[in-house]
This record gives sequence, structure tokens and C-alpha cells, in this order.
Amino acid sequence: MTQTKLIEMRNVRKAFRFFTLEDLSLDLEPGQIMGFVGPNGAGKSTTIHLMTGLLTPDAGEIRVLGHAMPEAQALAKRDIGFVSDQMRLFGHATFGWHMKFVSSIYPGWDAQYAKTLVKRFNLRPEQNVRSLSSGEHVKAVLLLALARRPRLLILDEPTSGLDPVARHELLTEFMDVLRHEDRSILFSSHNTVDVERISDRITFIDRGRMVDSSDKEDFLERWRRVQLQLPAGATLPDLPHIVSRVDDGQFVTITTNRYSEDLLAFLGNGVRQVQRMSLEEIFVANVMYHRELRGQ
Amino acid sequence: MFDSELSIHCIHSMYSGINISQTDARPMYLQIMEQIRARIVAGDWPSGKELPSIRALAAALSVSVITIKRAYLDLESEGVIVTRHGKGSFVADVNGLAGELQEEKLDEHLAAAAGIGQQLGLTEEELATRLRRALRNLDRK
Amino acid sequence: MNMLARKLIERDFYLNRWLIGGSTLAGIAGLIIAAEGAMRFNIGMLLWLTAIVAFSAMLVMFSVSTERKERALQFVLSLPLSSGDYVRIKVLGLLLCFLVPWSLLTAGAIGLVLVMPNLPDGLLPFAVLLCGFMLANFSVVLSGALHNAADGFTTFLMIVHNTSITLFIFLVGAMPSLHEHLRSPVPVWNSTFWTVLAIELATLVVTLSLPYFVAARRRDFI
Repeated sequence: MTQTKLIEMRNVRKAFRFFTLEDLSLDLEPGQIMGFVGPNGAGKSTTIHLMTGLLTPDAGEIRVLGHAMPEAQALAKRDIGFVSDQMRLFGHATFGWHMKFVSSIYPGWDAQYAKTLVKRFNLRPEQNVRSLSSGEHVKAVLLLALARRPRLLILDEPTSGLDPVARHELLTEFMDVLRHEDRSILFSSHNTVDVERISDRITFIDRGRMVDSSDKEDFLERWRRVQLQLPAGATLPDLPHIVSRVDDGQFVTITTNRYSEDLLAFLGNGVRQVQRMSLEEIFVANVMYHRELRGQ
Repeated sequence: MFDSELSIHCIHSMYSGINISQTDARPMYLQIMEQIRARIVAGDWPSGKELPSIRALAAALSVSVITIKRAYLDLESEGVIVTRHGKGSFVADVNGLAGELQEEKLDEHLAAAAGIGQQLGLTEEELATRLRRALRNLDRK
Repeated sequence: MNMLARKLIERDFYLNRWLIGGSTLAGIAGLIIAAEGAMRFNIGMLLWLTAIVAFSAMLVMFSVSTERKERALQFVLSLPLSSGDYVRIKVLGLLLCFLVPWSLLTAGAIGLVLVMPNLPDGLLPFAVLLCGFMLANFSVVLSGALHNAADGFTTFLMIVHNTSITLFIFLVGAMPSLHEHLRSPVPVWNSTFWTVLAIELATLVVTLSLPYFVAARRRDFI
């Protein structure tokens, strides 16, 4: 099986008038799902547009499926399925027309799978694209991408605006893609519950910079919220890896990003509770922490 | 890999009994381990049975590959399953494994009971009385 | 890529089918009326001229506005083509759409001059230059609109486009070296003719290659 990374970004920089993406490096291995998480305006869409050749970087290198971007984008896009929630199909045509259109361009089109997905996503080929709701529109674009069975799927907010049933259907199809160890998915999403469930790796981005990138299980193991009750007058020793601390009388809540048995022992008898953190909580705490570090 | 020829919905129905909840306090990998262990202990998954491939199970449960990998690794270090490189993972062929797992579970529950008993301020005798009472209730059912 | 280019150009034809068909029919009707001679000639040729000029302007306006309304640009750019490919395909597609009525109606006008005994063949050089001018005029507007699709600019382009045809007829038609041979029974292909034709061809080539070069240097498509 090929070991070449599906996406490689090295020290990429892209400057706009009011926003700059700075020093962004990112890798996507084959057979992996990467969740791309960040607040609004952090630069997720910009990064994705750089990956798909719609933007040219001011500095740094981008390679997707081994092709330099944006120069070799025509070649790369043969095996990339790019879907964004802003994408719209041709208004004058039916969904069926689009399926014929896409199937005639891409040799990898799986007609059987397409038929299955049409039923599963509850779409009608004879329906004019203009009359689709925004959720149906996204499902239609996703179907066109999935049925091609591309090696790489790049998705910008694929489940935004979708009802829970549709989301569940989509996640199932994404995981189906991952049955192949040479296929990967990169998706940006605000839905941290879904990201937490299916991602192998998670990258956090904030204000144009990558904040953190690691295996999902690693994040879930390293981050904890510890509640302590300190006897009157006692103070906590100076501790490393404390991301935040909240004092409420005798009760202190600390958040750590490097939890370990040693740390627990170090904290001593005052520990009342150790809580795991959801990805959403980690996301917020991590972003706040890094903003503080950067003096923002 | 036989799993990849099956449709995703076929695989889903094969493992539809395994449910991973994200609202459960326990991490996903632990839930998976528990459910696999339960089936092994119950005998539904007998010794030597081949486990689904990591990717197939990930797809069936809509859970990340890395989580399934972790669960399998931990189950292997516990001796519950055995992974043969290039061939797959299998339920360990250890006699009395089911019994061992059950005994571990019992010790866990007893430790928890002891902890609560202590918090309530019960003496050893009081705790033992309660245990005997629980056993008698079981017999009556 | 070729299959993709073909499909996209087919789509352009499909989107503009009414314009293409309508203007072709209007132009042919104009030629038929013009064949009757005298007053009918003026009316007919005016219809023929209007058909081509109006088609030229509407084709560009319609395509530009459809593109902006549809927001399908991201979808098209997700297809396996480069941004340069995209511009090239657009130029080619719209040019081909224009060429269908234009070549039919040009052939029709030339045929009319040759066939009709009451129309001196001396009209031929001017007819050729007029048709050539309309083609060049179209490519200027196409090139301009592709470069900048903003409302104000395209309106300006349309005004220039529509008034330039009148200017051409009066200025070039009044050139003595062309004017004096209009009524001759034999066409006169003199140096004035060739010069104007060369300018028209040069304009065509330059304006049609401009979008491609500009797009090739453009870095951001979103």
C-alpha cells in the first residue's frame, strides 16, 4: 500500500487585507479521517481553498495526492471529491442531468453505488436543482462526490444544515470510505460531536494559525478537568501543564492538557473529582489557552 | 479481506447489537472493549472466532478507526484476544478466560461496595450482613 | 479534459439555445426581406444587422449574469480542470455560440450580394468588413466582460459595443477608397480593404487571447 501522504502542507502563508493564514503545516495520511476544527473566521475555508487550488499561497508548499497545488490541480482533482456547503449545482438542470454529467467525466463513477445513495439520501433524479432545499442540495453535491469513489474527500462543513437522520446517513457513508486503507477524508465542521466520533486525527485552527494537531484519542486522554477542595489557607504548588484555573472559595477547578497519574499524585488528597472532557470542551479550552499565550 | 466485499449495511446489521454512546461518561474505546468482552464471556463469541477487521468494525459502528485500534490493542494486552500479523484478530483460546473475566468484574464491584460502605461508615460486619441479604434476595428470585 | 470541455461547451449551447435560434431566424428573415430590393432592402438589412448586434450583446450579458446568479463557480472549479482551462473553455464556448449565427448570416449576406442582380458585387468588400467588424466587436465585449463582470463596467461595454457599429458604418463606409467602389459591378479588393481586415483580425486574436493570459496569472479564484 502506498505510503505517500494524501495532503502535505508546509509553512503555508496566505495574506488577505484583514486576515492572514500564517505558517500552516498539515499532513493527512492514507486511511485517515482528519477533523478540522476552529472558530468562525479561523481560516478553515481558506486552508481548504488552498488545498483545492482555488487560492495560491504566498509562501510555503502544498502537495495533494503528490501533485503540487495549485499548478497541477487539474490532475489532482481527478481523484479529489471537494464539497463545500457554499457549493451550488447548475440551476438550469435536474439532479439526474448532474449525475450523467459527472459520470461522463470521471471514470471511477460507480453507478450501482450512486443508485443506492439516491435512495438512501432520499433524492429524486428528475427534480430540478433549483427546487432543492439547501440541505438536499448539500446531499446532492455529496452524492456526486461519493459515487465517484475518489481517493480523497475534502469537505467544508458537509453536515451543516442537515437534519439528524441525514447526518447519520452521511457519517455512515464517510466511514464506508474508510474501509479502504488508501482513502482519506478531511472535513471541517462545527459539529464537535460528529468530529469526536469519527475522526482519527484532529487539527485545531484559530485566527490563521494552527493551534494543535494530534490523534483524537491522544487529545481525549491528555485533557482533564480536576476539581479540588483545598483546606483553608492551603495553596496549590506550582504546576506545569495547567491550562486554566478557577477558584471558588475552597474549591478549585483546574484544566490540564497533560494529564497523568503523576500529576494526580502530585495534586494530593484535595482531589475530589477528575473529569474527562468532550472534544467541544477541549476545543474551547485549547483555543482560549493559545489566545492567552499569544497575548490576544 | 472478506469484510470489504459486504455492503456497509450488511456489516451494520451484523454488529448492530454493539452500541457506542457518546453521552455515556465512559470513553468510546472502553465501551467497545466492554461489549466485546461481554460477548466473549457469554460465549456468543467463542474461542478462536475471528473478530471483524478494525476498519470493518469502525465502519459498522461509525466510530473512528483509531478508537477501534486502541480497543483491540488493549484487549490484546489483557489477553482477551490474539492478533496474528496479516491474518486478523481472534478470540483468545484460553480456558477459563470467561471465568477470569467474571472474577475480575466481581473484584471491581466489591471494591466499589467497600468504598461506599466506608463512606457510609459501615463496619465490616454490617457490610457482610448486607452482602448475605443480597444473596438471599437472588435465591428468592 | 476534452470530454469535460465538450460537456461544458454543450452546456453553453444549451443555455443559449433560444438566443442562437432566435437571432438566426431573425437574420434570415432580414435577408429574405432584403432580397425584395429597394425599400425592402434597407429594412431587411437593418433587421439582419440588428439580429447580429443584439445577439452579440445579449450573449455576453446573459452568460455573465447567469454565472453570477448561479453561484456554480465552486462546483465547476472542483472539476478536474485548472483555472486557465476554465477560462479557455468559457471563451471557446461563447465564441462557438456566436459563430453559429454569425457564419450563417455572413454567408447569407454574401450570397445575397452575389446572387441578386440588383445588388452590385462592389458591395462585397464592405460586406466582408462589416461582418468581420461584428465578430471583432463581439470578441472585445466578451474579453472585457470576462475580465470584469461588474455591472457598471459591462454596461459601459455594451454602450461602446452598440454605438461602435454605427461609427463603423459611417466612418469606414465613408472612406473614399472603399466608398467609390461600392456600386461597381466587380468587387475591388484594394489595400484599404486589406488593412481594415488585418486590423479586425488582429483585434480578434488579441482580445481572445487576453483572458487566457490574464487568468493564467491570476492567483485567487474565490
